[in-house]
Amino acid sequence: MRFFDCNVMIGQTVAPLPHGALDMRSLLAEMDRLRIEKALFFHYAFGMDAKNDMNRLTLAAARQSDRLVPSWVLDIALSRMDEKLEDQVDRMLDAGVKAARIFLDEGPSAGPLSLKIYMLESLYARLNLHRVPLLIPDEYLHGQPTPYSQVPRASYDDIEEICRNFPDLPVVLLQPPYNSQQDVITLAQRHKNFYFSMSIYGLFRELENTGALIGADRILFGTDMPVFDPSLPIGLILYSAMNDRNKELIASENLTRLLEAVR
Amino acid sequence: MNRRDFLSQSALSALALPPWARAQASGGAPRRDPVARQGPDAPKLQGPREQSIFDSVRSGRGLEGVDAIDTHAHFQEMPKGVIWPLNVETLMADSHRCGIRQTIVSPFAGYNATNGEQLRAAHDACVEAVAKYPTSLRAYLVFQPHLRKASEAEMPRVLQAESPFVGFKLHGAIDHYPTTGPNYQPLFEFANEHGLTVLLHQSEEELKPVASVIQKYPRLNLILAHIALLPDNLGSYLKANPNLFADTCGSTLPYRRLEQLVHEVGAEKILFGTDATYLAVGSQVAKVAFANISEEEKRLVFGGNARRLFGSRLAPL
Repeated sequence: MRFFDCNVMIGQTVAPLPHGALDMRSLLAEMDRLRIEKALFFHYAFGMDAKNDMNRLTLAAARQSDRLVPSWVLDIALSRMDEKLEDQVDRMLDAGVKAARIFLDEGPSAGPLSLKIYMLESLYARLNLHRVPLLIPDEYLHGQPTPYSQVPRASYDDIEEICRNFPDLPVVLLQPPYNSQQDVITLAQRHKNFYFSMSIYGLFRELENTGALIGADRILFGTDMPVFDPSLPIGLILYSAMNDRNKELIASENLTRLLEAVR
Repeated sequence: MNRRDFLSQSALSALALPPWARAQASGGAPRRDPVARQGPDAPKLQGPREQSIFDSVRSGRGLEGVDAIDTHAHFQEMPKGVIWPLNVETLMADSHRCGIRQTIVSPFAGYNATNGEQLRAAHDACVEAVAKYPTSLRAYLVFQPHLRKASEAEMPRVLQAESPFVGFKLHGAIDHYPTTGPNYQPLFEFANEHGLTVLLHQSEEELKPVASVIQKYPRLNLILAHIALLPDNLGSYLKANPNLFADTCGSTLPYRRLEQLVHEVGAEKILFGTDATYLAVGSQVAKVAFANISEEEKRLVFGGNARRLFGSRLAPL
């Protein structure tokens, strides 16, 4: 079975992760070991122009292997005098990147994350126009900051608003925990453009029964390396009580389809 | 542990690491695999192609030729059609699909009991369940500290001939009861007297209380549940206390934590558990099967250690 990981970070963090960061080579080695075919990733950076650095480093790493598929870390606050927020989508597409992700602004000058439409409408509209998948970590919806960010001001209500107002924008919620099933199922039933990754969505038969309720085509494989052990979501899919077709959708085909739909 | 807590603790955690891992974490030295020890006693680092456990699980076939014993599972009869099935038939179906040969359950109904009759009924349900699966199922007696007398009355069931019970499960986290609390003492004395095993999901965030118990009762074996929930200094406690162990189950696992723990304390101290039917089985199997540890270490974790601890109380191979 082919696996296409939708959620990987490379690059050193300032406060080191307990078991080390991944760089491009070590990520590829880990993918080889676990037989993960591709990974949608971004490169972490910390600094005064962090998002720009993240994307520059992401593109540089992606050039080293076609198994490393870049995702674009969005500026969610204006950072250039001569540019509108939505212009970055064009730069992203010009660079060949077909997925965007939210990452908290960090550092003493960074404000708290807001996903409100009045703040980011033009950005969402441009992503919607091009059907660019938007990846949003679930922890941001629970007020969980990074060590260097403000507490994010975002919630499932924001996800619902985005999905409703931008129906061509695929919204991918990254790593909702197992006890968020009511939110996940309801959002998926209300909005055809809602997706989620399943690495810690691991109650007994939860993956199977959620798939039966909303369709396996709404669930993506993601590991969250190097924070969490990637073995768990692989095992969750391999041994789920669902047919091989649904497993393949989750393991790789849903993400592939979303990226191919970008226009 | 959620992702935020994990990240915010990461700097402190890194400081608690051994030097080789700290250097790696800070990016200050070339990356080394946690099990790539040097010296004659270093386990051979095997690539996945050489690891039959890795291969059989990665191909989705299930564990093959492995005496896999799930030492931490649960069940409860539930009505048909529930989104979250917990019944023993579903548990056994998923366990068998993954190649697990034997499972030790404790009844959810035992934790939920508010009187002695309910506790006894929960244990009776275990007897019935084991009778259905005599070669692949065993059970723990739940000791409920808020039902001390009823729990004490249940204890002798573990000593009966052909008992389906292999030890005890304590859930201090649900009961909001400290490991050193007086109501647990009769159980610890009993387990110590008879050399029994106790599986503990403790209420405390630190391990000092557990250490005081196991040092006072050296003949009981204590398994701490959920390595991912236990503090970073778990390894030093496991090393210092021969009758202390930890199990692998949990919804998440920090990257390379299992490898680091096996390297630090040896695979002999770690037992395989799934926490099914709370958690799914497959992810729990994969975390051991895909760990970058030797085949021999995986076999110890999957079942060898459980055989050593529970002995003839388990169904024979």
